[in-house]
Amino acid sequence: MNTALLKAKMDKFFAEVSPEYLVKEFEKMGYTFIDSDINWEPPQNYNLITSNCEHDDVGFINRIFRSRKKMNPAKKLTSEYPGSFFCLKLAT
Amino acid sequence: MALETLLVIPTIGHHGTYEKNVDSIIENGFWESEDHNEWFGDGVYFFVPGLNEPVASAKQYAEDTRQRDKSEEPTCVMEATINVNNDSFLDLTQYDGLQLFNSYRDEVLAKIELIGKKPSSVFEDHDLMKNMRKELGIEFVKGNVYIRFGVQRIARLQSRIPNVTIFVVNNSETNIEKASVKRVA
Repeated sequence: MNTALLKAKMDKFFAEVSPEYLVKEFEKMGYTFIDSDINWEPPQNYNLITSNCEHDDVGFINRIFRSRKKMNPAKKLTSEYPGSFFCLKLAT
Repeated sequence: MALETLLVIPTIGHHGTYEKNVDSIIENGFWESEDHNEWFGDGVYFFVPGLNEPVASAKQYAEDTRQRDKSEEPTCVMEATINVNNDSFLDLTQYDGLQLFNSYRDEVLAKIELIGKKPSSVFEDHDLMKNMRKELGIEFVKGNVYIRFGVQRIARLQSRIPNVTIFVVNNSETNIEKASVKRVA
């Protein structure tokens, strides 16, 4: 196996391919796609500055986890939404 | 591309089938499977040296197929030399190959996420492999898999630990040495 060549081909492919093309290719194989949470943002006035985490708040934190799994959720939440760390602890 | 090696490595593979197919295979070549659930996508599948003894596994596989088909037809094992082009070969028996496949899957999902989409069901390995092979021009894949042969089925054994090494090739007319194809068992 020529690992370097395959890796180079792969990098080139993903640098050039559009997401729409990939979706179409997998749709041909019978897959369907749904909206992900990636663009989901909390309402502007959402206030999590509380240690009394309600059920809905846990759901909120879980959605953040799912949609932003590549980020460090603790850092993200504590930097952008101060005070939410208590909720984060409860949710985990 | 400068990274190309143009290295071709002959590999002997064994394929279980019905005796009635022998003449046709020798004359016209192997039939490339296109079933939805193939392990590594479309192509001709062989057992190769690795976790198992390839001839015995090919025979066992053919016998299992015969039993599933409820057929009385005798089975046999064909041998062929596959000219493996190293530049279009994905070896999933190596860490490098497994890492490439896993990266490919992650990249596909990450790319699709860019337009706010995700698959509504689990991406199956064989479909991802099919796509990867098409996009990267991979004609040969080797890997270790678990096959539930008759013995395991009777004993109701299921496992995630591979028990055989298989090899799939497409463009078989070009990649399989026609003169090498023969019946061996």
